[in-house]
Amino acid sequence: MKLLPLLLPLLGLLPTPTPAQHTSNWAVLVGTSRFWFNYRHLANVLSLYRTVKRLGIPDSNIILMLSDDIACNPRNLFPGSVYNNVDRLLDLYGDNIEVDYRGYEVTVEAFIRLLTDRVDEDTPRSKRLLSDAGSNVLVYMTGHGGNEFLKFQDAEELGAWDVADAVEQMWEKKRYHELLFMIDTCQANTMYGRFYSPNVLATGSSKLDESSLSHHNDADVGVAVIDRFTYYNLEYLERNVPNISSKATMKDLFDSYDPKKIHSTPGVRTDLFRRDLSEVLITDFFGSVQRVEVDGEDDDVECGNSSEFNEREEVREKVEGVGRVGGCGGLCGDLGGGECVLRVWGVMAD
Amino acid sequence: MSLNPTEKEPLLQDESTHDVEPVDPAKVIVTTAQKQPPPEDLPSIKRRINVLLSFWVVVIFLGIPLWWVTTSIYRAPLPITEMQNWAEGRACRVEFPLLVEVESLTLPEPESLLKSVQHALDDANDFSAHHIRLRLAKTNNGKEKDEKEKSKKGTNKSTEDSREEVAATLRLIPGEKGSTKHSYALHPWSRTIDILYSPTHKLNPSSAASVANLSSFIALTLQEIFSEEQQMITHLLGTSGVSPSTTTPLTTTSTATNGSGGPPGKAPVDITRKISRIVRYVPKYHITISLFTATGVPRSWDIVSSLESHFQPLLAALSPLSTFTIDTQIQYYASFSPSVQPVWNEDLKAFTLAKEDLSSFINSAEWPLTFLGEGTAINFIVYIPSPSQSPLLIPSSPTNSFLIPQWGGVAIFNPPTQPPVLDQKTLKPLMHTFSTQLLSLLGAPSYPPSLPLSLRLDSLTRQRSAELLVSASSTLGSLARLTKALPSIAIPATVLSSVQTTLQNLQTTCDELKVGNFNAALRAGRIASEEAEKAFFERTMVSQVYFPEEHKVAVYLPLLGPVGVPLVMGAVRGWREWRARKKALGV
Repeated sequence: MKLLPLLLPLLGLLPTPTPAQHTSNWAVLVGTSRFWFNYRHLANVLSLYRTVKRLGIPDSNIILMLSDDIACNPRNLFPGSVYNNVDRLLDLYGDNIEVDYRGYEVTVEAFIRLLTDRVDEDTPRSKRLLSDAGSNVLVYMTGHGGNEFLKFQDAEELGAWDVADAVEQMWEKKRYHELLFMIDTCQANTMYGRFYSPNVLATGSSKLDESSLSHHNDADVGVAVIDRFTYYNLEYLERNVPNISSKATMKDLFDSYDPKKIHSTPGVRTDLFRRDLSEVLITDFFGSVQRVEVDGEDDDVECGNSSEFNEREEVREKVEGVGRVGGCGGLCGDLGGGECVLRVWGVMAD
Repeated sequence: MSLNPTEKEPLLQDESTHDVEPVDPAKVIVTTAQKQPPPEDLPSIKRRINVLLSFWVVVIFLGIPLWWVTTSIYRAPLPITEMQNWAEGRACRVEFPLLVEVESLTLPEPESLLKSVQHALDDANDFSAHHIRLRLAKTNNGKEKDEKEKSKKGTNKSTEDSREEVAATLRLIPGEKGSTKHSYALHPWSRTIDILYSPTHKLNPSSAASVANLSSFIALTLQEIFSEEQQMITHLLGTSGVSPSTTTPLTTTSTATNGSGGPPGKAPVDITRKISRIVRYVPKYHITISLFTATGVPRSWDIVSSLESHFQPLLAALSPLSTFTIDTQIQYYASFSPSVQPVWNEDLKAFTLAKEDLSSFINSAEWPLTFLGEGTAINFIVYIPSPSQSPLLIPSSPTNSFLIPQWGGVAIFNPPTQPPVLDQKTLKPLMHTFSTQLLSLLGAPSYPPSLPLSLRLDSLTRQRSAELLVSASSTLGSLARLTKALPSIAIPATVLSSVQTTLQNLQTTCDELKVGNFNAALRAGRIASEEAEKAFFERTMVSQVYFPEEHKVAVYLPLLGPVGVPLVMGAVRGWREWRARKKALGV
């Protein structure tokens, strides 16, 4: 049973037509712990949520899984607000967040089903990960964890093998182009040790037998408000990636990790990732860059230069069809641009 | 009662002797030997052995089968080899035979011309699965006119009668007097290609040189018309391994050119870019047309009538491929992303947007563009900028619009005045822009530019059939690999039935493609793809918990340990005694 996953990389590497550049971005942000004293885990996830939204990923492409019992907790001195810093300048819970899986819906089964898309027929679209072969997916998980497991809602565990199998199923069904797996728990690096699918980049906050620590407490809130690994990630992202056009790379981000500040040894796993990290932009995973094609730009017909073309022009006018809209605007004579296209195609009646 | 006589314990006698003198252990000599129980007689031994055996019989014949049945996972027997054959392209040689009927009204000896054209086509074709076959139209004198009439109306589809579908009809017509070259023309209303041959050919139509010239021109024309489709299908089939073929580099085959900038006969289309632009094929699309205005005007727009007259005809033409639902919305005081800054351009006397800004134009945080219903969504946006930023132009686009791959399109509209209502006349060019963008997003070939809609849609049908075939086959392959890789997940019977339906429909698709019934192939391909997806994404096939062996031991040991130890020890003891008895008897 344990040998089979070793053979799977050979099967998984069959040639598939993946685009060279990604075409969409998805983010799966999972906060796996509940109860008041795990305030910081929720704050971690909400901070990442805010970051990916700021960089352009729309809510329809973000799956947010939270226990959501912090903001309206009776112990919350600031009801309806979640802060990740003692200065309380930024309210993460705000008024524009969309939580897809709340409370007890956040289970191991729900998470695996989300990744592999084996959901009920009546699952709403907002609860499904509808990524395809061109999507870059960011998976961020935080909570309490241990050696190759992650605790969900204090009731069950997610194993490293399960995540690895789920990601392999995603690869089989071409549900991601590249995947960034980021995890902030104790002994986090063990969780990504079992991946065997290609194009997976993973980073964790601490290695085996090491705990991940929280950054600071807020005396009024009463608990720790942010974890160190996430704090330093956010600090880098806020300072160096101010908007979608930033050219900062993942290598810069990983180089900025300082074990002395984070108080644990963050790890990065790149053996499954095909590209060189210094070419991977941070916005490839954290933001949503849309390639656009401007109409009329890619003219695939040369206009007005060659004599053969002029001859065709005569023929065309005779036939009543006229040229393509855009670069050959002159051909269309007195018709508007869009009209001439439609007339050629026989759609528009005169 | 201790058996050890030297322990300092008062020996418990019977009740009558209650006043026992303290005994000095050193002076006591054990006089009585230990009383042994009477030896077991044979029936008792047999009874004991039978009791033990009965426990074991229950364990072996009832317990183990029950455990096996209740803990085994039902895995339906999927036809793995057949699925893998499809995934690797061994089950079907995919073919796209295109039938072109040739009508030569005035030329003598059309058969020899046809033969040389066919030769030229076959020689130049690197990808044998997509090939063009020429056929002379029936030239019975009485029927010829009928054929001409029919081809003019473009009704060469075979639906009721069992005639093959004709991809296009070629007509050979004498060209203008004085022109020395051949040329071709396409009709916007039909599938007819007019080849206008130069009068010099007419002078000596049978000379080998002029026949060769004309035939190579015809071959190149046909190649050019179908080249984008062929490139797409080559790419789809070649990169997935469904059918053995070589990916074709662009080659130049002949010196005659057709006025295009690229190599003759090949469409200058970037296939990878096209593939990342087109929306994945689904039977149902949903189109959302939104008007976002930066101020409170216009109040409303005459969209319903606009759609009906300018957009619906296109959707009706597309209906054999997919169905479309439309909805529209208006949002007021909608601003684009704050990171986008239009720049005033003195030459154009307008505000312009840089191309990099276009990538982040859509303010996805604020604009409600999520569609939560059934079907894939395609969004078209009309944006009217505020008067302080008008007119807003995209410098490189004459239609002031841009397309977002796999998502939709945006058109920026600068109304000359600030009309409270956008009427149908104003919306007409926008609808046309969106029609162009829609066809682009759906993957209809755009080269050559004068290609009529009917031919484009036929090409799209063939392209999508190829795509569905490939996707269904690869899904089957993934499912086969998955069932082998995860032996602990259950495979319900519904998966088996879906897989069988898929295999049947894949075979139908392949057969229909070979014959040339592309619409039927598309329908079968749709069913195959849907069933394959259903089979793969079966909700009960979740391999949720991975049990390491230590966990299994930890679960079974406390249950079976206390029961198992006496049974095992009893069996061991019984075996030893039986051997001893046999020895005693034997000796």
